[in-house]
Amino acid sequence: MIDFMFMLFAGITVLGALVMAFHESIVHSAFALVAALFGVAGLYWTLGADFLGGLQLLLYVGGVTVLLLFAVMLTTRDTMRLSLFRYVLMAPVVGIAGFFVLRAYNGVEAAIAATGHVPGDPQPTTQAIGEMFLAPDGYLLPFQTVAVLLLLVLIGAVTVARRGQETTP
Amino acid sequence: MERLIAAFSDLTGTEGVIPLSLAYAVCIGSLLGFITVYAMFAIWMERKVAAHMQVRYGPMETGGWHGWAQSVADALKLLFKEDLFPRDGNKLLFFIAPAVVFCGVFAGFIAIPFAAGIQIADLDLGIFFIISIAAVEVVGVIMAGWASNSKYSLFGAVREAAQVVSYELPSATALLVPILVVGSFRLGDFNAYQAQHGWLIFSGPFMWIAALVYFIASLAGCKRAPFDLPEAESELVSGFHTEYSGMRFSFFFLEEYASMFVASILMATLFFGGTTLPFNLFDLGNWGDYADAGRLAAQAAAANAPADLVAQAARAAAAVGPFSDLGNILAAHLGIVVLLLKTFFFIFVQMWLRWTLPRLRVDQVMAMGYKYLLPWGLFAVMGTAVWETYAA
Repeated sequence: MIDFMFMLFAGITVLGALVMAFHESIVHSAFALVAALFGVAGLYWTLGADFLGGLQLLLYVGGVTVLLLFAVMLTTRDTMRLSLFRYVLMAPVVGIAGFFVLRAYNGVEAAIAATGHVPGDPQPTTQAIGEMFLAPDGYLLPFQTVAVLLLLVLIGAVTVARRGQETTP
Repeated sequence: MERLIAAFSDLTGTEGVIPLSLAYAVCIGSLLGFITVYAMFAIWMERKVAAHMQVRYGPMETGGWHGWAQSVADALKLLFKEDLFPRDGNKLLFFIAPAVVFCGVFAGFIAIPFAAGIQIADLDLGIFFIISIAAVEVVGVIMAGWASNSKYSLFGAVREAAQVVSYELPSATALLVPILVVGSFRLGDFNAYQAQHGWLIFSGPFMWIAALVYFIASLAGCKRAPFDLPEAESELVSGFHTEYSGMRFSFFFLEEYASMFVASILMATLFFGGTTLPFNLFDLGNWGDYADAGRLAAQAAAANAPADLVAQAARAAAAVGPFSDLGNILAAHLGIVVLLLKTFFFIFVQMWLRWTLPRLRVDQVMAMGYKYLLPWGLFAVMGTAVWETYAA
């Protein structure tokens, strides 16, 4: 069953990514990106990371891509004529290289073995994540620092976007 | 769900895929049936509420008593209508959009507990799953708006995208408040907590703010008036579903009423006591346990059962006492009736507001979300954190 779910979500992800990369209409590409990100959320679920899967759905499927679609629709309906083929050969090379780099880092498999986690046996992860982030002996300081950094980025983005506009309605 | 799988496993004498898929089929089928019947009833109710607010009768002929069969007749008519497709539209996206929209809300139903044990999946993510899967709906609406190749549809879809993404923030912030008090995303825990400690709405002054913010934000999330800009009839014909007809159109209708139901049942479960009566009259919240006494005892007897499960089983066993299994199961269903009554009350309030308030302007919608609801929601979260630490 879990194998079937994995194949299903992996298929959605790969198919979505392929359509996104090769379709000539930019709106189709954006919708295919939604499908690919949805597939990734499903993969997180099959791997037992339920909170991460939920976040993926909320932020990427429901948030980021909606804004992206919003921007795409407001700009143009023309077809995209980018020469993507330069990157097509590079992508698998980078992917496979990344895989071997991760394999070379011995910690990964040991870490997986240490958690004793069987893929497809979804465990509630929310509480553990919360304790990691907010407990004093956890990652409280890095978490807060990243939050402040994100706030800075937001303010910076607004400032850059508003440059040249005197007043807002 | 586990019990259903076990029942089918006993019935067919097999393990694995066959009972699992049968159980899924039963769950999905019963949910679909429930949503369809509920939506027909809610549409009839909406027409009646609207009519009586405008001092008229509404549908009175079909089916005899106060036109109760009007929605059934409408649904039949929609089934037989021609499925139109706009010229130069995008066929693939046009056809899958209603399904995407409906799936987003439909998937949320699997995490909703109608009573203790009557729930498809008791997800640890609970509320978080419901709000995150509902975000998929927006993608479907944009898909519908773009594929229709009509400016009204596109305007509706763009408005919807802006509105729903904006109002996810205040509604999620407001939902944080009960989560903060109970300490769990799991919706079943909210019923259990409120059965013990009373309704969450009475647990502090900031809970009222959170409930109000959530209710207003959920109106916008469901595209209900006064936030029905994406389908503003007087400006955009009917917004993103202008070009849809027949069966596909009815999917958008189903989605709207299903999301009203989800918003209202979340309101009832999180703030207004779930399956319990006020002041925990008759101890309804725990009756679900009583129906489950046998199963709980079996689980508690296992070698490494957690302590709270053992305690729960002991409580259930003590409470069941002289009553028969059938009596307990019937009693557990009283909780469902109470929960549904509360849910329908909030659905009624949504309809009431629709026929009372005028539609907001686009900039007013945005100002409402970002300048009023979000700060008040954050204020409620901070206030509850302080309140729970020092006062409660």
